[in-house]
Amino acid sequence: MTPQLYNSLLIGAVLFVLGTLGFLTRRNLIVMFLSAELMLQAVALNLIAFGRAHGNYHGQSFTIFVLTVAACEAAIALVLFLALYQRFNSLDVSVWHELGESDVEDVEPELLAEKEFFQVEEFPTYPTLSPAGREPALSKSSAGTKKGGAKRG
Amino acid sequence: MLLTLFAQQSATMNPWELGIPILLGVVGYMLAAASPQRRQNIPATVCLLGAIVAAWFTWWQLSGNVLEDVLFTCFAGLMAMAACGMQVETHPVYSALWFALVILATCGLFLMQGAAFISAATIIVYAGAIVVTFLFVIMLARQTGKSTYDVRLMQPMLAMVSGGLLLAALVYAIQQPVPVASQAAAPSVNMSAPTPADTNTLAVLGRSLFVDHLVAVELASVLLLVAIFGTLVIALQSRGQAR
Repeated sequence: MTPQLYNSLLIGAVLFVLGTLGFLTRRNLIVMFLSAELMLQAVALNLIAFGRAHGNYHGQSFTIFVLTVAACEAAIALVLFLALYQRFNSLDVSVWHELGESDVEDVEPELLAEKEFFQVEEFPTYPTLSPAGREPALSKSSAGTKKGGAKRG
Repeated sequence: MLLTLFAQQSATMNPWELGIPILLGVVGYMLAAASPQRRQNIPATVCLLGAIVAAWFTWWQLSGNVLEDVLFTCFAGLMAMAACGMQVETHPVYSALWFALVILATCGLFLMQGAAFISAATIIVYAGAIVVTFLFVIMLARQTGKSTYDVRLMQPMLAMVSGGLLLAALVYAIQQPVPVASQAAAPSVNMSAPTPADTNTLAVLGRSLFVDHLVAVELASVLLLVAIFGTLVIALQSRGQAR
């Protein structure tokens, strides 16, 4: 292994770990996205170093594809952030801890507490359906956003 | 002298050489990422810079070429510092600026490895991406002061432990000697390897791209198209919901 390849791999490892750290610890969606880009950049560094070491251009070709995927990811991620921000007025990722439907009750604690799973209850509970689709425009103050925001506080 | 000694015995690296830069980095990051009341900026900066310098002294291998070594070291140090700054910084606008610095340093490293076109393309793509991200930050970030979710981190202890272990494992794996069989298969020195002085890099790269990876190029174009449509669909949908 030549020193240049070795050093490039080392830099790529450091950059990748820093990006991982940011992705794990930061709570701002935009900074998390930038950290993911950092990890992609580390991989691109490795690819170019390997291409140089093997004396061909496959590494650089792969890097172009990495760049393409990064561009697609940026477009989708930013528009998703905008959509999420319009819901809760926040870029905090921990607002989105549960992406499930909030009005469906959580069954897991009861399942864990109960010993007999197969005993038939006298009054069985039926699953509830959460409202889906667009609300009919009865009044002007429709919008699921306000309802969701009020529920979250 | 000391450096070359370190570089030669790197295959049998003792645990302290592996551990000290990582420990310094962990301590610096913990100081920088503590809760706002207990945050200490100057010791944290000292620890992080010490970690980078210690990593250079213990892990780095020097090639013979002095100019190349100096440039490589400068770009790598700049990149590591900027990446640390990006993770430690509490304001997203400054994080994006640090990220731009990381991209510039990485492009310098690309240039050093004979990838001039990739370097330019990265700068162009990421310049656009960063400008858009800037717009988003300015649009969406809180205008009055810092928000709590920028200051308080999520599980910094666990993240530090896993990050330190990951870095140790990566550095250890990189330092292992290459097995003899694969070393024989790989060309050690090839005259057609891209160098920074090549002028026809782009022509060879284009030939490689459109001869060896033609299907992948077509797939990438389809991917871009799908991403554009997906972006439009999500944007229109969210606008309809918000109304």
